[in-house]
Amino acid sequence: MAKKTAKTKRPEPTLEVRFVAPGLAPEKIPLRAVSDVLAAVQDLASGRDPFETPHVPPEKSIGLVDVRRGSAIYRCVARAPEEALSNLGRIGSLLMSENGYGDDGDKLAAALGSIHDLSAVAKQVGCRLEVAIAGVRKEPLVVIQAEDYQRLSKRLLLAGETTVTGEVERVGGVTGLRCALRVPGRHRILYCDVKDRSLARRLGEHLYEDIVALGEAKWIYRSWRIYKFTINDFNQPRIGDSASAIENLRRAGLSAWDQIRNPEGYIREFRS
Amino acid sequence: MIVGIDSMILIYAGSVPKSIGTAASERAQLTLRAKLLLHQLSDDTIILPSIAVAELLVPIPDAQRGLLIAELSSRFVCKPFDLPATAIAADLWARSKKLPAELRHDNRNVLKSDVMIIAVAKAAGATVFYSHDRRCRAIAALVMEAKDMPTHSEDLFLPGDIERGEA
Repeated sequence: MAKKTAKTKRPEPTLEVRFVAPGLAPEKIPLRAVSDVLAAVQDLASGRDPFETPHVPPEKSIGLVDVRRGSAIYRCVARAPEEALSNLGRIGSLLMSENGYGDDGDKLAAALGSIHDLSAVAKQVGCRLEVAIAGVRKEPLVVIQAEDYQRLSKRLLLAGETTVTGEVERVGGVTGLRCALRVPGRHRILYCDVKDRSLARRLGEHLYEDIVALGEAKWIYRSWRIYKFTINDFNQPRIGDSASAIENLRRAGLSAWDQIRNPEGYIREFRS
Repeated sequence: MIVGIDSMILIYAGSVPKSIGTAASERAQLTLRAKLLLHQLSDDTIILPSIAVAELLVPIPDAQRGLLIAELSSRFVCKPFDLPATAIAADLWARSKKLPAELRHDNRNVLKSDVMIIAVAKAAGATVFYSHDRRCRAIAALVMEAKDMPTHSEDLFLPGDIERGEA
């Protein structure tokens, strides 16, 4: 008979976090609310000063107990179960796909932020994360490994220099310098990284003004939506008074075109 | 609003040609229309693709090119041909072949330049592209609104003011 491996002793719970209200059903509390509350309690319990320490150090972290041991299994209830299983199943298949993602690449790209977080947790904890249909032990819907985000971002994201036009909404940040830009034609605000503090200060002087930001972008392949943008510099080109603009352009050299009798033909010749 | 323009708009607005007769009057009309357009767009973000900047620089003496680039950059978004523009250009190239024969360019190099200029404007978020060339407008219309220079202004006095150099 095989020797039983020594079981790690279950630690005694230190504290309980309670959501208290008459008739409160735990399955109706969104996961995000639970994780936000647990993270905040962990901050309070560890005495973390968010301005000094970006993350709670591992030796002060708080974990859950009374969860099935061996691998940590957290059972969840979805209010739209069919949709939840179908979405997770699709992402799981795409993650395992070896031959590109076709039109589904955009769906995978939309999930990239979550995959980034899950990969980071898998790396931090040293495990793989599985999401499976409740009670079905084999063939999980989604499997996330520590290196999955890196692997996917290499295939889905393209990087290069570009300019982005938008209105400066906010500048600053505690953990990193950020600038929120409202970009025409884009539904959500674009949160950009800012190269350095002096640039952030300059951007701060142009709140609610339109700027042309110069920097490095990461685009989602095919949809060409900007996934990440770092501002390296910016300017605010404007025609302004058109008469003086034209005069200044002429003075700067545009008047050389006065000598060209057939400018359309000249341009055509340049192109061919 | 973000709009794109081609190089000819600035050539019409910013040069005083030495032509005579009918050609001179036609050219004067184009100059007035280009100036009207720039007046209308004075508060907008105007994309002048770097490919169009290169065209503008061709007859400019070498010593003055830097000055003109600086002046253009302070007034227009001189956007380079970046990665999203490459994908848009490839798409436009394929779609432009399906345009009616009278709207297709005879010269592949002219078509290539137009496609690249429009793609840069589109990648920069332009929703309108201005050009006096109807073939160029036909290509631009595949991905955004395409317009010629205005022929008149709602402000009746504006054309006269522009001609006198007062606006």
